[in-house]
Amino acid sequence: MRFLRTLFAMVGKDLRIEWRTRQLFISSLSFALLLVFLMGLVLETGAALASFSEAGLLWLLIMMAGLFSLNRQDDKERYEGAIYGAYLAPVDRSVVFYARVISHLLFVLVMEVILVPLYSAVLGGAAQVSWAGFVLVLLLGTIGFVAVGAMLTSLSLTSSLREILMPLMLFPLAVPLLLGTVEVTSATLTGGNGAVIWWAVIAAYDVLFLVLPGLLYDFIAEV
Amino acid sequence: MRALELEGVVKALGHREVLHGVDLQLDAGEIVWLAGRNGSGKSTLLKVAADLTPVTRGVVRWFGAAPTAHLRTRIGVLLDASFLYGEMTAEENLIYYARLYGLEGKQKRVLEWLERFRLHRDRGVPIKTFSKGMRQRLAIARACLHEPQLLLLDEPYDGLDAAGSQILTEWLRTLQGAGTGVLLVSHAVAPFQDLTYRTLRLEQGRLYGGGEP
Repeated sequence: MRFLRTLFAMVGKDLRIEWRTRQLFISSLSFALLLVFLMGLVLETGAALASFSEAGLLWLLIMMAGLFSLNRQDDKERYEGAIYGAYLAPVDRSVVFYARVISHLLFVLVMEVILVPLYSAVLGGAAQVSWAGFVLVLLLGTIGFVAVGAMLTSLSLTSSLREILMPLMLFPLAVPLLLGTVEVTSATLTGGNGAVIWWAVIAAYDVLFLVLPGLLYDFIAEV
Repeated sequence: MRALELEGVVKALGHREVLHGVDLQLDAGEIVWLAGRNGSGKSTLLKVAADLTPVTRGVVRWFGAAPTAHLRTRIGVLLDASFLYGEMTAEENLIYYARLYGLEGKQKRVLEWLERFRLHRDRGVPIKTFSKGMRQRLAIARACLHEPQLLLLDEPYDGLDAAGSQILTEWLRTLQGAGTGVLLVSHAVAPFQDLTYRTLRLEQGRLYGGGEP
């Protein structure tokens, strides 16, 4: 019970700060929109992308914008050593990891609500989208990405090379997730639901990166 | 009762050993002034004592036991950083910490602390606009909010004006009477010289005058 209370307090604090400043949201969304605009310029205008390319570019876009906001989100925890204040809370320190996952998940999902329709308008060509599958893979893929990102930000929190280390660690680790989400998203854009094996890859990835960092958080935070 | 015990504590940062086998005992109701030059390892010792960084070797005990999440309700920590969020107001910052500690009657308690450190008039102001002294007062209030029985303070007088220093010294006197153990790192002794305290000196990671009170 105390764990949940602390978790809600931490997430509430993140939302309050973001609502007040909107720094994270506006900067990440602007970055993502700029990328969509640039993609629209460099890719053949007016021609629909093949579903696999469309899915691949969408996920790269989400991951790059997500990485951008992960780095920004951590800045406020580093400011005045606030992360140590969270470590002093009388609960298991993994609460910091889960609070970070939930806060960041909310930010990225809201961003996707704006980004995905715009992306479809500029670059999308899918006519028979399987919406249930598409929304589900978007949710599960985002959870996996946010979880691995939150773990890595905890690992690199005290490093002065954090902004360089993050993409170098994050993107290779996210390859299985990227493959799974692109395969399934591509299938949903053509009215299918994707192969079970790829759904299993995404689900296993989510479970792994939601559970493992929680169990090992004390060690991760000490690196 | 022992509030804090450090036994043979060694702390290495990379290949450099910062603390070399530190032994320290701090009793309930005792104030220990930890003196030492810049870079002598004082702040690292406080972080180790607060269980915010792991020891390389040795043992840390709070109230006779190894540090646990539950025991963190009984310790308060002030380091060189305030642990506060610049975008939140003074009141919101303290309410947030009151939630982390699961305190009852949060609002009342927070207002009491803001009043105690003369910050009640600025309670609705984001603290990024605070002066260093105001931020320090709030950081002390944050460290004491849950009324810990062991208080670890790194340069608590830093940035405080005469009034702020007096409030802090009075509060330390109250804590001492209430049986709280205080480990205090400070360059200056003047602000608290009329309190009863024991002095330890840390030099190049070695503690002198440590051990039994």
